[in-house]
Amino acid sequence: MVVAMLQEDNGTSSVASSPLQVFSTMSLTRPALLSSPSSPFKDLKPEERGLYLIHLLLTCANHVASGSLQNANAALEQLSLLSSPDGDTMQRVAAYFTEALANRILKSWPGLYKALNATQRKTNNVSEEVHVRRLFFDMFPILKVSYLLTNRAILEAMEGEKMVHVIDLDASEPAQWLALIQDFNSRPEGPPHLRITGVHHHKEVLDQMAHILTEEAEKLDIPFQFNPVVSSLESLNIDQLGVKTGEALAVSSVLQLHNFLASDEDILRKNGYSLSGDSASSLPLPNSGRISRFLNAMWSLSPKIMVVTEQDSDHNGSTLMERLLESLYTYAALFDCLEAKVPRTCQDRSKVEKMFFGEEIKNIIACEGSERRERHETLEKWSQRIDLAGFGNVPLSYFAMLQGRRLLQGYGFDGYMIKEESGCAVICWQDRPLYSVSAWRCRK
Amino acid sequence: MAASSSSNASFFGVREEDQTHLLPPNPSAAVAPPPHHQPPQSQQPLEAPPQKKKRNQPRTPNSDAEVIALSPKTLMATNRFICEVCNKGFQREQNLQLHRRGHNLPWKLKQKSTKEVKRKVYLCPEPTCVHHDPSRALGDLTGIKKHYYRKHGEKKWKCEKCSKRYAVQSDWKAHSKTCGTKEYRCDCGTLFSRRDSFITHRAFCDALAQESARHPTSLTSLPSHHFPYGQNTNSNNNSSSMMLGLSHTGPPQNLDHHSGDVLRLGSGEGVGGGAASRSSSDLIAANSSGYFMQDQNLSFHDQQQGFLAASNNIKPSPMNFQQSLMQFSHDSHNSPSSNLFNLSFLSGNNGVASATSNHNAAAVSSGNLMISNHFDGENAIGGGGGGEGSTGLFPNNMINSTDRTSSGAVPSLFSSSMQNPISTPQMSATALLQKAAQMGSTSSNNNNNNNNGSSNNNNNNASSILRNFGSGMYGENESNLYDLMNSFSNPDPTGNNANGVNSPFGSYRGVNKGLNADKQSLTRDFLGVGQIVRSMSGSGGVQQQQQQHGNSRERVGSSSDSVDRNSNTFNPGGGPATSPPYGIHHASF
Repeated sequence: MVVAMLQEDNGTSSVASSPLQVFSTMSLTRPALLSSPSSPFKDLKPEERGLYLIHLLLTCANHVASGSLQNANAALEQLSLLSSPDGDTMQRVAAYFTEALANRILKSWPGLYKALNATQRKTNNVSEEVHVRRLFFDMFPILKVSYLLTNRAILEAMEGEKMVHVIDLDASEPAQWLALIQDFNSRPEGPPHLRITGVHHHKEVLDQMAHILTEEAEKLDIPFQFNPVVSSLESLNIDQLGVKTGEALAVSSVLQLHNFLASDEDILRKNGYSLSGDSASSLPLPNSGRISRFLNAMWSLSPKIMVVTEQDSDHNGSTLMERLLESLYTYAALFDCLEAKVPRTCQDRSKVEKMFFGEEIKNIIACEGSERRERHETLEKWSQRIDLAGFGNVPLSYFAMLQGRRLLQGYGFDGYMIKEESGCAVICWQDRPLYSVSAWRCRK
Repeated sequence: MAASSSSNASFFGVREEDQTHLLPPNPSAAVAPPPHHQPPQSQQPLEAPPQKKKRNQPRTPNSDAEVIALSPKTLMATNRFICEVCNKGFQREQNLQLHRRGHNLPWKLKQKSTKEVKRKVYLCPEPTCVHHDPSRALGDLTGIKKHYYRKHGEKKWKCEKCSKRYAVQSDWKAHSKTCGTKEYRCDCGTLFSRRDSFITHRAFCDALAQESARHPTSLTSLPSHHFPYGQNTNSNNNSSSMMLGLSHTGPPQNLDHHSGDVLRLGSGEGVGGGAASRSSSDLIAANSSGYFMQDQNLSFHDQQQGFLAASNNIKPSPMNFQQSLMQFSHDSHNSPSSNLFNLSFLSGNNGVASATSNHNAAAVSSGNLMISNHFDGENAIGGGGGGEGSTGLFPNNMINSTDRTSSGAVPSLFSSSMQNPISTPQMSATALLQKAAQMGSTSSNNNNNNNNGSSNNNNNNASSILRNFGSGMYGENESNLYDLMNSFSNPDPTGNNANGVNSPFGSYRGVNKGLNADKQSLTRDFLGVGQIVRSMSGSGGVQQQQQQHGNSRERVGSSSDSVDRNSNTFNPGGGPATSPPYGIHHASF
């Protein structure tokens, strides 16, 4: 088990061509640092420390990948010394990656891992989960832009429709639909009969959403119905969505679809495919996968519009090294966003970093197989996939993009920008693509 | 608006008839159907609510509408119609007539007339009010009364709980019913009594930004925000498309009224001050969170004043540009400063601008991604443009950094002299990763050169550059660096190394190309993705690049000597001035 897991990363040589990889093999260590690792760290300047942290992370990951636990352990020790969840950006990022790498090692001893986590209660705390998500919504413009673009696309697709049904595959945030209700209310031809189906695995969340939305609709006197579906997305039964003939259907998926990528491998495994590291990704997007089946199911509902927001990064590499390199860039950028906006001492910032991004990092780095859910992939791959499932791209309107940009601008989210990529929107921090929003319709 | 008065509708058909006729016959005047692409109200707190626009839309004075101008006194009179028997006052004559019926006095109600009653519109007596103009008269009497109270009257009604004051009693009553029962406070401190307005506000209020604007870290965030930008601009072609984010979205005239985009687009396509100032007024109107922006602006203002004053002289370096952008968008009252946006540097002064970029690109290729470069670059540009402009921003620091660099001392990348006077700029994690990648590529670069090494001339150069980029890490310990490079003496003679060689050139060339350059992102570049695009075969490519570099240097040289002086700072090893600072690529160790 141990061997299998650690040797899964044989493919590192292919990645080693990246300069960052080369960087990791540079002999960065000052002799002084090696001999007494505790004291001289103090006189490291932040950027020296930052570079050293990167170096250590890559070195450590290399060791973890190749199975040399002694060396990995040594690197982890230094990493723990230098990184800090309360320090500067690089220290923070490094802290979570360090934890993730340690977790990965630990997981190769399932007994040890389970024993250590025996008393840890699963974070099934609904309010906490909602709270963290809310913080992410508040601290980043990403969800706001995503909601805005989604709503815009829905509004434009539903022009003139009298019966509109919107399916929200992640019904955690009522703000989006409040906005949509208001938008529908002010459209020239008057509001449609609106039905919103929310899918979420917590009943409380749906109840709250139903309450808020119904209240708003009543106030505006819009015929409205909320249809809660308490279910995880993976176990969703399409019939529960209650799609009726004659209504115009819209589907909104925000940061959900990548969860379906996990199961592809499982299916392959069940079918007897070998799962050595590099074969998994080199397979063409398998048709039998759950993602395809889910997309096909969505297609069978023939929505007028389906808007997909996903992370636009490649965190689904087969080897640890690939994923580490890519995710290091992404999360460095995301942590930089916070650094630029939020004071370091802010409790909420730490919360988002730990419980939102930290968990994602842990999942990307430490988990494998069906356990690894955060399989973020690039817009390009998603476009292929969704296209394959019978959807055609609907370019986001000029007006929508404009509104998105104004949102960023109006609220001082400088540093962010929206790039247009073949009709889709890519939300970037500086020039680093972070999230993508794309709209689709059924191809006949 | 006209319709809203119907809350006062009387119980009589006559009156109802009256009411319906009060509605302007021209439907577009009453309720203008929202334009096709009307922004959603909730998500566009940036804009004035559409209803307002509708209400205030000037209508063509209807010839058959009777314009009535009532005196303030008449408008304020609560009970104009007094019963002669009991002195009871009534607001409407019809009511008085009904009342008279109880006294057995003769009474007369208006009959529902079959012919069209002439529509009446009412003017606001306040001369400064928009509704004083007949073209914007209000459609009913109650409406004009309430308008007059609300807008021009005394707010006599005070809520005891929250001290909010109202001029119209019914407004106060309505408020009193809900006051205290529901209260919503946003983190930004704004109080809402209505849930919907709170939610709408909350959804898009960035309380955090405000917080950081008040907090000193906002100053920290300035450099960490903007340096990466500059950095990208210097080192990567992609940056230009970033700055001109919108240039592909449409012709400028389409964007004139969209503030943000004009800011960006204008920069690229030379939209003049006119457009910019127009957009600035738009900004004022649009910016619902303007107040906090201004806060931020205040904190930056002191620093930037000098900069602003001088900014016309500065040939903008990316950083300047960024900051002027910021300054502009944060201080919308500064519309005169829109000449900041003549922005000729991207079109007109191409020579200087590109020379600058090249200059910085050279710096980048030496692995020096840090602030000091930007200041250097700025200086150089300032000199080139014949202005002393660059003194505006952190003047002391600039001098320091220049001194350091030109004296050939190894600049500590973040030495305190270069820091923002108030707080320490942090290198962002992204920048660190990029630096790390760059060091990686440079070292593999060296590898390659170990094998192919030819020219000894450039040895000095190369080592000094290496010292430069290594300085942060290694201090003065040069031998360590040589160790490092020796550790790579057996490189894999594959495309990997070629990539390494070309990477600095690639970015350099990209800057030359400016907008036309491919859109490969910087970080991915350093990861070695897509470098094939730019990869050139062997030394031929290098020479070509050097040639290009030479050309641009000539341009710089002709504009000012100071530029030359500055570029020498990247040759601290003392190589000939004409030799490009790329000696590293021929160096052998």
